[in-house]
Amino acid sequence: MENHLTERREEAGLSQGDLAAAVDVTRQTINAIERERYDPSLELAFKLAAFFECHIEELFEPDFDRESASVSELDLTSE
Amino acid sequence: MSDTMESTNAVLGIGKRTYERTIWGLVGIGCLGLLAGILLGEQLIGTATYLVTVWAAVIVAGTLPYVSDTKLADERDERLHNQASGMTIGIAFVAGIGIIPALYVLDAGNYITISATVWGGIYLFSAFGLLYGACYTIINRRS
Repeated sequence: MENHLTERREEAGLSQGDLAAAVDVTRQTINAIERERYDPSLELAFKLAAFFECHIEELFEPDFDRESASVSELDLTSE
Repeated sequence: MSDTMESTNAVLGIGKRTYERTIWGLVGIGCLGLLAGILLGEQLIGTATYLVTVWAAVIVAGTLPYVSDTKLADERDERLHNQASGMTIGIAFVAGIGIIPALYVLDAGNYITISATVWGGIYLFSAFGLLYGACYTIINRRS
């Protein structure tokens, strides 16, 4: 999953260790997320979004096709 | 940006790598001590070395995360552990299911003779499978 964590962190003038301490994970986890080798849990994604005071979508970009996952396209009136 | 951030500059305590190296270093010393004890005919000293160092590693692994100011393990470690465990179980079961029944049938047909050591391995593998099944059932019921 693509993310903009590095940009956000560097804009805030933080080291990976600073950010890790702020959201209670290891520095290695922040590094793995930034290198897109680890997708964080929903809880950690929310923590990061709350820390940077933004929406999760502004930090993380899912790989899947959003159109195919749209609930508005479901036919709920059929049998 | 949130104001809950704490700078790591003032944090005292060991880092994750030191933590992991300490644990595996102690386990390594224990294994070497045991091996040396066997090779030198000093089994009692080797066993004592192994037990002391391995239990020291267990105590370090269990207590340091609670007393350290630095985060030493998190959700990523848990996920890595789960993936490694899953891969180990998968390989063990594929290998076990692919080999053990065939061995048993060949032994029953007197084509081969399974030695006591191999039987020990089969029993150990079976016990491992049962333990996994029990753990899986407990976890599944809790979730």
